Amino acid sequence: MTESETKPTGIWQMIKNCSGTEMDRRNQYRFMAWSFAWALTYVAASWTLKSDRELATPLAWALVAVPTLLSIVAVFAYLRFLRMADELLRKIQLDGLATGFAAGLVYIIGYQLLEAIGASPLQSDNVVLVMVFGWMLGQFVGMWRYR
Amino acid sequence: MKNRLRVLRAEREWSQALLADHLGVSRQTVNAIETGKYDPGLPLAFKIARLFEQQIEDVFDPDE
Repeated sequence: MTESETKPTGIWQMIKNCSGTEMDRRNQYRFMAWSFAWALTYVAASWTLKSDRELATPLAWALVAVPTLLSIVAVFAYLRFLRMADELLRKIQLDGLATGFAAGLVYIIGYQLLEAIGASPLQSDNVVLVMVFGWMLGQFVGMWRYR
Repeated sequence: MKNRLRVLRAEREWSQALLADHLGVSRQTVNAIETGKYDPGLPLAFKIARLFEQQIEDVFDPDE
């Protein structure tokens, strides 16, 4: 057994090692592709809706519906990835999801106290950022723990 | 939970990657089990025992 079998040489090697089986990688790419399509249509829709407030109602609804539908597809792609994932990878993802959820909860509740002492109102975008950061941090800690 | 996975694998001169292929898991999972950082679920534990033609308690020792 070589040394490289037990200890990854760097952070990128550690992340690569924790990407699961070939099927997991395919499912991850599928999830990332749907997420990218969602992000792209979301940015395009929000830019169009903000810049042209005189849009015909059906078109406005379509601009809301398309990214929302893509978000649902991305969520299902993630659930499929999670269900089929290698069990260690699933555990790492669970750690990440728990960290993300906890970070969002602590941020929302903590920020309410900050609002009481005069902070600007809570921005939902910031909550999303905190949750995603927590999710990524939790995954990273999990990869480090099981490297 | 202690296990004899590394010993059993070494007896067959298998790499972690080859064992991972046989089990349908990632090499990282095999490594985490061998180093005791991760305890596998029942289906995977049975799969490991069957692959090495052992009783599950001969591979995994919950008392240690």
